[in-house]
Order: sequence, then structure tokens, then C-alpha cells
Amino acid sequence: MNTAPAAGPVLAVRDLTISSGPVELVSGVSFDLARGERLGLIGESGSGKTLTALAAIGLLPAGLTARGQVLVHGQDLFRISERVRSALRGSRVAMVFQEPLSALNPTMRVGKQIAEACRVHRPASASAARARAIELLERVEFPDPARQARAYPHQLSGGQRQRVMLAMAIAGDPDVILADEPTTALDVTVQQQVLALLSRLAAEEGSALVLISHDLAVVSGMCERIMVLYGGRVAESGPTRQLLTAPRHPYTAALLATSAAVTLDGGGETPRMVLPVIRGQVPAAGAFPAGCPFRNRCDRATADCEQVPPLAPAEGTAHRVACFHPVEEGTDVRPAP
Amino acid sequence: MTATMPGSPPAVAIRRDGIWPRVRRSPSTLAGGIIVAFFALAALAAAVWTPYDPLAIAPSAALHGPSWAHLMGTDQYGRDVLSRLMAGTQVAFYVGVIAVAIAAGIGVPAGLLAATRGGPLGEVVMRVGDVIYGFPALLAAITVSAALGASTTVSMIAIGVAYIPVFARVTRATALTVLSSGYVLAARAYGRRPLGIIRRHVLPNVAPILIVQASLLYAVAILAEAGLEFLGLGAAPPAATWGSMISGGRDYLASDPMLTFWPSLAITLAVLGFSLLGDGLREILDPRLRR
Repeated sequence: MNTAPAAGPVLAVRDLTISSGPVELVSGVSFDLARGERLGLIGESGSGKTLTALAAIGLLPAGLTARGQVLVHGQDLFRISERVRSALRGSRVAMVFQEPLSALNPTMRVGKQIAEACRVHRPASASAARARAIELLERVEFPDPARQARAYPHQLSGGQRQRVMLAMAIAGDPDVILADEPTTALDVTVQQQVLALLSRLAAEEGSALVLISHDLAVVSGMCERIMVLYGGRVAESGPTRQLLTAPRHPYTAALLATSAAVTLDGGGETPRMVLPVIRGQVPAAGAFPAGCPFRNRCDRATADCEQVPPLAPAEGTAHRVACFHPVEEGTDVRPAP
Repeated sequence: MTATMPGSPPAVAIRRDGIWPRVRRSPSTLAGGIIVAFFALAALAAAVWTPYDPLAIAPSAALHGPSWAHLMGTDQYGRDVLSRLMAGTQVAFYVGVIAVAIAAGIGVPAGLLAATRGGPLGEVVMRVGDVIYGFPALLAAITVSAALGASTTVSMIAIGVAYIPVFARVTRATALTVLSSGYVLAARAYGRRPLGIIRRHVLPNVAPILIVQASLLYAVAILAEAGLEFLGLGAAPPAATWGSMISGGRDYLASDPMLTFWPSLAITLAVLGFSLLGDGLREILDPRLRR
């Protein structure tokens, strides 16, 4: 169903499956992103969230094979030449990486690197690109952009480096910004500042945003829709409020319980803090159980779960869950101590 | 640093604003640089002026010792030794230029090709390099000179060819490191195409290492040229080169040792200068040694 580019989703991922040899790392992930929409991708390491993002910008590492479709304005990234793909990168889809220090060239002044990103899609003179780089630095809240453009990455703080990356991401006026754990490498105090800036820039540019994180709190504050990945599969997806207040997948429920971090255990004589945990560990890639990938850590698992549960609508239409035994609303989702 | 976050680590001590502060603190780079600059000046001076015509013979003035007229004396044909040394400096730079041009001109693209293509083609390129590398450079130069006739240019091309694999290897190794870096992935993510990435990110990282290799190859080329010349496999006899001066002075070693001493000193100093410069620059520029 290819609708006209103007009205259709700016990014549509259809049944994306990424494998390394016989091992499927991402299985059947699908989502649409409307203009200006914000989607949060939640998952632990190994859940396939970064691979999904890399596939969405056509930069999967060599050696991985992808099936399905990634449609950027209706153009399937897997079916066009690398030349066309690179023309879409930066101008249609941009990406912000987790480690700003390694994503910046240590031997190049940051102003020059931003100017580079500007000139890729819009040929400009060196001085015009430099002026635009300073303008972009100002937009990402550098107090003295003309001077700081001359800094090398190591002379900047982590938050400043990530703001440089944000400037580079918006340099090409992208329709979609993929932000892969943009604040994980930063101090907690700086995280909020960078997230607020990312949010503001995306709004000003009218860009849709895919925010990838393992932190529910980060995503829930910024995104209207959340998709939870586990073992390369979508466990649950839906509007943020619904997902947070009435999670249906046991994994989402467990995540919510753990991100509350501490709960009061009133059973003893003196109240004590209990840190809820999800039983077991995330298996290595390829070592997830067949069927539902979560079943070996799930208290609700039965023999049914040896089959892959379909991603079916829960209540309403937007909220979907892949579970044979979803959590009923109002259940205490904390795992037994 | 108005914008530096409180509590962020202090900026690394290395100043990247230029290499001069680091050159000044590196004695070997400084010493090598001064020696090389001295010879470069001598070569430039010789292009416009030498005390005497380095080729003009004056049998009446043969084998004079040092004097105010001839600061380093004259050789067995009455030619001014200082003038010939200066002219020889030009040859020494010329051989370095040829060897480096050949080695870098072919080695760098080959290294880039091997790094970007990988696969069978990259393997073939590097294995061909191994074969060339396994062949002694000087022997190759002697063979080529014997086959094509003695000529400084031809033998230096042979030296340059022998060093292609060295340049190809350092280029490939650096390129592979850079290409797997996060900033190249980021550059691809904002739409840079492969050639742009090589130009903007790979070559600037390869360049310092090439400067080091070029400096070291200069030393090798000067030594090789002198050796070939001594064996009679270089420029034709009247030409003023350091090697031919040693070779000519050999017969007078007992009576006039200075005839051999001056060109030997020049070769030793030039090789030392280029080696010191190369090693010093390596410490300063090579990212693998950079702390």
C-alpha cells in the first residue's frame, strides 16, 4: 500500500528480519512513522533495537542479511543503489549515535565536521558552510559558537559533543532522526538537557523521531508511542500512556516493575527495600528459546509459548501485544521475591 | 574555557593547534630537521651558485689541500671538492624525490584499494606487495641498472618500487583503522560517499605516517645511490655525486684521505639527518605511538 509520499509515513519498516548466517537477530519488526511522530524503541542490549535503526538508515554492518522492507518516502532502502541510499542519508533520515566521542573525528575541529555534514547535500563554499556550522552550533545552545567551532572533540564535554552530533543530524533537514541511546554515555545531569534539546530540535525541524533506549523513563517522557523489543521481536507496542499504565506483555510489566527501582516490602516488621529483578539473564544472540523468546524467563509461560505468539491487538487497535497469556489489567506485575 | 562543564576531565595535554610545540620538545626531530634543512639549503644554493664549476677540471691545481681558494681542497683532476659536494647534494635530494614519488604514488593507492575493497582483490594486492618486499631492494637496483644501463634515475625507480609495499602496508593499516571508526559510520550516516570519506577522513590520517616513511626512505635512497655509484652503477663518471666522489677518492686514500672523508661525512650526516627526522616525526605524528 504505497500511498503518495506527502501523505504516507516518512518511514515504514515492514517485516524487517536481520540475520547473521542462520541466526535471526531481528525477526519481523514492523512500524510506521508519520511526519513528526515520535516512537520509542525499548529493549535490553541484544534486543535488536540498534540493528533495527541501522537497517532504517541502510547502514547494516557487512555480513548481516536483511529481509523485509524499509520504506523511506516509499523508496525501499534494500532495493535502491548505494548511491541513492547515501543521498537519502542525512537529508531524509539522520542518525545520532550513542558514543559522541567516537562518532566525531578526533583530528578535525567540530565546526569543520558540522560544515562537512552541511556540504554533503548542499554544495556551498567553505565560508558559507562555516557560517552555517556556527549557526547550527548556536541552535544547539553553544554560548560562543564562533569560538567553540574551533575546538577539537576532546576539548568538549560529553554533553557538548552530543550536541555537536545533534547539530550534524539536523544539518541536512532530515524527516526522521534516529537517536540510538543518545544520552547513555552522558552524566545524568546532562541527559535531561540533551533530551530536551533533541525534543525541541525535532519539533522545530518537523522531524519524526525514533528514540532508542533501554530506559523506559527517558522514552516515556518524549514519545507518544512505544515499541518494546525482546530477543529481536516486538513484544508489545502501543500509545505510551496505555503501555505504561496497562502493560499486557509480561516482559513490559517486569520492565516497569524494575524501573520503579525500589519498592517497599511491607511484610516484615521493619519495611525494607526490594529491588525487583527479571529472572535469569538476556541470552546471547541466537540463544533465545524457540517460540516466544521470553518464555524461559517468564512466570506465565506454558506449553503454548513454544509457538511464536502473533502480535495481536490487545484492547483498542493501536495497542498490540505478542503474548498467549497477557497480563490482565490491574494485576500486580512485580515478580515474586 | 567558559563552556567546559565543571567536573569534566581536563583537556588532553597534547595541543593539536600545530606540531611546532611538539617538534620543539623533540630533540631528535629538531636535530634531524636542522641537518636536513642545512642540506636542503646547500642543494638550493648549488642550483644558482657554486664556488667553482663542479665539473671543470684544472690539472695544474690537482690534489691541493684546503685553502682559502678551495675550502675543501681539490681532487685528482683539480675539481673543487666543495662545489662537487654541493652539486652532489642536489643529486641526493633528487634520488629521494624519485624513490618517494614511486613508492608513495603506487603504494598509497594500492593500500587504499586493499583497505576499501578487501576480498580477493585486496588480498592479491597485498600478496604482490609481499613478493616485492621479499626481493632485496639494492639487488633489484643493481639488476635493473645492469639490464637497462647505469643511470641514477633508473636505479632510484628500482629503490622506489622496492618500497611500494612499505607504503601500501602503512596506508592499508591506517585506512582499515579509520574506516572501522565511529566517525566514519557517522559520516556515512549523514550521507558521505566512500570517496569523500577517503578524502576527508582517511587521507588526513595517513598523511603523517607517510611523511615519516618518506623521510626514512630518503635516508635509504641516499645510501643506496651512494652504494650504486661506488660500484659504478650510477651516473656517468664526470657527474658530481657523493658516491662517485668516494669512489674517485679511494685511490688516494693513503695520500689524500680528505677526498674520501668529505663525501662520506656528507652521506653520513644526510642519512643521520633524515633518519632522526623520520624517527622523531614518527613519535610526534604516528597515532599508534601517540599517548
